[in-house]
Amino acid sequence: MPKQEDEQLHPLTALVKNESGVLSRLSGLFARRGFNIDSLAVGETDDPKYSRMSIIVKGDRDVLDQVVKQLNKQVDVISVKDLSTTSHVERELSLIKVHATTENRSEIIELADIFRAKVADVGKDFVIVEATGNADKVEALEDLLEEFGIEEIARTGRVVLERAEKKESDR
Amino acid sequence: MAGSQKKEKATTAMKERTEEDTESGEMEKKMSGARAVIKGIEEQGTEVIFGIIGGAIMPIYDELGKSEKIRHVTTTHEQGAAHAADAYARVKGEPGIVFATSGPGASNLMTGIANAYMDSSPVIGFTGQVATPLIGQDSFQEVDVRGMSDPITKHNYLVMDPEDVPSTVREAYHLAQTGRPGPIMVDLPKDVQTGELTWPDGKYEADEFEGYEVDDGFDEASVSELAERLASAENPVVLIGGGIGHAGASEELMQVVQKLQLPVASSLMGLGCINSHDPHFIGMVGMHGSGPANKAIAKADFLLAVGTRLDDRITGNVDKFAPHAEVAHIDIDPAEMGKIVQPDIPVVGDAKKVLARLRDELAGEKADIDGWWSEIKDWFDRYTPEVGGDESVLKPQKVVTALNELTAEETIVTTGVGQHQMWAAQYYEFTRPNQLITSGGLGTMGFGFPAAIGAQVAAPDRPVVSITGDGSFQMNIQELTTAVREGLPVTVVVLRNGSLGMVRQWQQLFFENRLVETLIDDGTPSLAKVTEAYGGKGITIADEKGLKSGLEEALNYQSGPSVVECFVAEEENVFPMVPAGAANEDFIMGENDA
Repeated sequence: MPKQEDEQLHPLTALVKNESGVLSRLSGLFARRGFNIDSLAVGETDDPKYSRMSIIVKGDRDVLDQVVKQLNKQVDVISVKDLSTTSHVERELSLIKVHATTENRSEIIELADIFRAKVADVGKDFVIVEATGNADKVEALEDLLEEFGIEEIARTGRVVLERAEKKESDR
Repeated sequence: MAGSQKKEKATTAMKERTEEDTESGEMEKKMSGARAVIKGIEEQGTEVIFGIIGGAIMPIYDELGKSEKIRHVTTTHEQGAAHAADAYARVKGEPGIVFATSGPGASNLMTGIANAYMDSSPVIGFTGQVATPLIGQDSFQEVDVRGMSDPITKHNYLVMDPEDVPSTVREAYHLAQTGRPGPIMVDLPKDVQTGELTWPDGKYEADEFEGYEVDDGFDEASVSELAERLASAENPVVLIGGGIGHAGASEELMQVVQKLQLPVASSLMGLGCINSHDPHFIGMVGMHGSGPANKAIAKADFLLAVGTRLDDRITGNVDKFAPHAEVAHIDIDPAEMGKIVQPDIPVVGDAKKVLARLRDELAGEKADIDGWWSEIKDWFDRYTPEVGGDESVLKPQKVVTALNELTAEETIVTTGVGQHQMWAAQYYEFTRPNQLITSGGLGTMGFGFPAAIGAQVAAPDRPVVSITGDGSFQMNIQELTTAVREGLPVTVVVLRNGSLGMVRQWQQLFFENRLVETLIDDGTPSLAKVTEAYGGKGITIADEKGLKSGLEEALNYQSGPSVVECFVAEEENVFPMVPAGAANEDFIMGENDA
């Protein structure tokens, strides 16, 4: 079992078959082996036969090692890569519904601008801010919006992709 | 046998039609999903299927009835069919096939599938499912077979298109028996069974299988390092598991062992992979392992673990397992490396190939561990348990010893789970791989008797003995019907002690003798009489005097199953024993030792 102080977040990317039952089998694997998953995001790739999974694993190196090996054992998994020490791009999208009044609406929009976030929708007493970036940035914006009153929030979880240049130089 | 004769008659009527079909290749190419399942199974050379018919799998059974190549053994409960298929697979060294209907048929299989998963046995379960439009509607006899079997299968399928049946059957066979073997479930909705498909042209190439690859190689540099370290070790120990049997690696193992005169300990699953009479064998390791095996591993400076996943029954307190040893671990499953014990030298590969290479690497080495052997021999002198008692009480250990003496060397032994299982492991001398068919990982009470049925079907010419307890036997006693119907001469030896003995032993040792719900004699019928009622041979043994003749009578009975009900000393417990959480070397030799 992992020692608390060694626990870190590790981004993994996995190419999996895009078939029904795969997500359930793999998320079940994490649960039954007691792996601590911080976030899990899945979407179809350019080839509809496959999906790409971005998995953020919490744990020490031994735990990470087991997660990778157990995933690799699965027939539905084509490949798994640990991106912890590999140059990669990481993004998370967050939709934040903030309570707004006519007085403070422009202040919220200004704040969103600083974070290069967009305003996705405006209502009589709310604004939906759409923020994209790494998790730290999104969380920082959330913290600032907190004082206006966040009504609801929806996050995609982190999606990760290895940088192409790095891959070339690896060869 | 009665069963197969009946089937012969039934299939004669179908013979002409089947021949007609094969003559005109055109007709054989277009077929139903149900026919494709049977054709796919025939293509793999499978001769026996275990199972029970039911509504949602009727089209497949209808096609099975027309097959002249496959014998079907109907069991009395689906769990029995799954265990029988598991044992069949272990004895035959090929996938064991089990059929069940949807809903309860499929859910009844699950214990058997989980058992096969834990013991890496290549069982393939085909289940009927409600028709695709009815899936997800809580239809009659609907259960999510794929969801239920996710955590207990190597892989599983829900086939939604008849055209996918041929490739699915082929994939299932390939997956079940390559790499680390394991169970596969194939769920077949009724309309997929009745729907039409065209059987694909050409031969199936197993390696064109995306997402699954079996690496034939291994890291040779690691094996060189392993050879060097092993040869220079002063206190080396080899620990083997069931993987030696799966890989057929006993010969290569013994060549390595003889080269360096290495002591060999075994897990429960590895018993027989080294002949118990071999002087290098130092016994079973772990919770009820031998004193010498547990002491040797505790003192070892080098541990070579092969084909074992080092589970908790082997390691005991893992922090105190082989504390002084450099560990080399050979296993075909990369995920076993570092799962429990972080090896210094991990070698992922087939045990047979890796050990052959290791043997070659050791060619120039000489054995030089006489001092280590004299220490091990001292442990044998100190820690050989005594089975006391006079002739008036029947000691369960003596039943196993007598059985060991009376049975031929090619005998297959199956067990349930509990005290009798450990006595079988300790007192029966296994001489060949897969001779002991037991539930090692899941610990499934009730495994032994249906496993004996599967083993006897797989090996009609070998004697099959099931050593079991009154608790375990009654968990699948209904399979007497199957054994009688099929005329299988299995011998069941019940060590009847009126209790769920292993749990009672724990209550005595660790729960201040509070025997809560472990005494089961009240209500347990005469198992000999029950057997007679089913149409088998029932024999009762109450003391040591009647032991030999009673066992002989049962072993000689060939017309069907025989059950020897041995009323054994009720208070007898299993020793040595490592208390939970303790280091393996701190085993106790008896109640007074605790």
